[in-house]
Amino acid sequence: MIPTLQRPPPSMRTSMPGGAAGRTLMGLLLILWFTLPMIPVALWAVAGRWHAPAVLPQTYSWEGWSSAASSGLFPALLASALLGAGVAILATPLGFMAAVSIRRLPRRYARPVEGILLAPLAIPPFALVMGMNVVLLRAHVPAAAGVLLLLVVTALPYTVFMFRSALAGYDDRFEEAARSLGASKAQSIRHVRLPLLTAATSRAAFLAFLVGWGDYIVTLIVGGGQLRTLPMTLASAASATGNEQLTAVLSLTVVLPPLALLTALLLTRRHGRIR
Amino acid sequence: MSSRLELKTISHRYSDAKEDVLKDISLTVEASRSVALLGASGSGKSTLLRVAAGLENPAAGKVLVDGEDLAGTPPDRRGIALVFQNPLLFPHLNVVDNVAFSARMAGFSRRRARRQALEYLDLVQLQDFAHRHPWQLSGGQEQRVSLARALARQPRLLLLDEPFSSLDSRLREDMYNLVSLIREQLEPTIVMVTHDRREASVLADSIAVLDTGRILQHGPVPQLHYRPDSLAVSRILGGLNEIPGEVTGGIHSSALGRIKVQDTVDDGAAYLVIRQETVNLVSAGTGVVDGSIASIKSMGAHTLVTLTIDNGSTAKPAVRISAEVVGAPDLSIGELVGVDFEKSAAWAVNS
Repeated sequence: MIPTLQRPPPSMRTSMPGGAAGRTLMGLLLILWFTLPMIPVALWAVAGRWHAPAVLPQTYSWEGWSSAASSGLFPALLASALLGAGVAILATPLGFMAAVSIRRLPRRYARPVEGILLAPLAIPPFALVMGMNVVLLRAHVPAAAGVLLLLVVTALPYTVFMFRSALAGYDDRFEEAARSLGASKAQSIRHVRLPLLTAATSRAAFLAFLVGWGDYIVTLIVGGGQLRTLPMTLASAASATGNEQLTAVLSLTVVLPPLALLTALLLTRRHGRIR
Repeated sequence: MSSRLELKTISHRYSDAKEDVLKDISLTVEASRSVALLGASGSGKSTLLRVAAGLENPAAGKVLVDGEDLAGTPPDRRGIALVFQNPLLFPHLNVVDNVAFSARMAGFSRRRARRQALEYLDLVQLQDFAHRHPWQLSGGQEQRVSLARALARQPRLLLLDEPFSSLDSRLREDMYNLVSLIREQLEPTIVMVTHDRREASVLADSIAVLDTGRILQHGPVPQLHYRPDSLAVSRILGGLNEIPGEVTGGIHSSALGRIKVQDTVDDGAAYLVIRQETVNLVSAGTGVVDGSIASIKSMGAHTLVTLTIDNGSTAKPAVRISAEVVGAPDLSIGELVGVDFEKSAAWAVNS
């Protein structure tokens, strides 16, 4: 008799201890875990005067925002966005190609290659950067190119992993089915392969973007102070005292754009259909 | 939407294989007929479908549809729809858009494609599921949608590659009824691959038995069961009784005695093949031969009784014969009973 393929019962999919109440509680705790640290930052961003032991700011003002604007917020935003986009544009296709190649390799070669590609995750960034900085300086690689190069390497494990898991669930017969349903080779790529890999591509690109957007160490050491990205501006504001409003505003500008991007990604994924 | 399919002397070998997976296969399927390719896994039956669908280029031979040679015609221009074992519904499309896929690829508007898709969903009784996503369907529903999607292409030929093998037995019965309904309404030419001889018998007009890349026999369902060309075909069709003996002038002599068989069998060593379903158990002394019961195996509503022929001969190994009888007969091991069958339908195959 052929075993029947059945979906796991709902109880298996939601078998967290504590039942519905436990799940709700865990969910709320997780939300708190992520939002709680942001509350003081959000308040500082609009605070005028806020001295201990007051629980809330005594006065509110936009002072933090105007001082952020005058201390190079917009060029820094642009620099970070460009760096993030650059890393995403390079690391995403590289990750895709690497994942496709690993998939085609015999298993005994695939594992070590995969290990090498994931290695940057295991090496402390500081060690990687210090070592590479010497090499890049000796090779006369321009600072910005060096930063980009190192960040692409750092982002590669994320993009490879994203495409690896997407391709593991990808069945080439989807395209064969499309062909036998009357789709030309180009149509089957456009209407089947690309949409099926869109989610993985956008997730990979998003993670790669985050590597560039939020980087501090590589930009600081390899960039040698030439690249004024958002984290650099934030760090210099945070290292001085009495800059709480400015630091809070810069922190928000680091955190909010990726969140907006993530929300946009989640929203667009709901609207997949044949175009 | 039905055409005649001719496969002419097709051979094929996968690039990494040592042996041909298909060896000089010729098969004709008349328009609106349904043929089952029956064989074990590795017999080449799925490859033959892939060749017909254009997903595999044969090393030699031709695929003709209504006399037209399809060499060089890509899969999307063949008008041949293939339903896979796995439903392969596109996960990024909902049910109706999956079924509308072929019409969209052909350039019809979304509105028109969906209207047509709904008709086919109605045919498979899933119109209410049009706006669900594939992952919200059960296995049986997914396979129904997959079938509707293939039919919506309005293919000249429908190829089914073990499409029901992952379903449980009750769902499979439902699918058989659905295929019958589709055959009545649309009269498509169907070539299906299966390793389940019962499925082949239920769904097809004729069965082609494949073994290691060759077609052993192609014929109507009863012929394959009762008049097999070889012992291999008899076994693949589930025949259990192979009585060894000699044929001389159309008479088979064995532990069962002298029995007239078909004229076409050559003189010499031959096996008498008798379907276990046609063997009856009677009181000792009243049948063709007597035997003592060696085993009794329940098959659900039927029981398989195997006897050792007892005619005083000391032939080794002892000749055995099986009977598939209705119900659970009141018999015990070792008991002596008579074996009876229709002698006029006796059939022998040369060994």
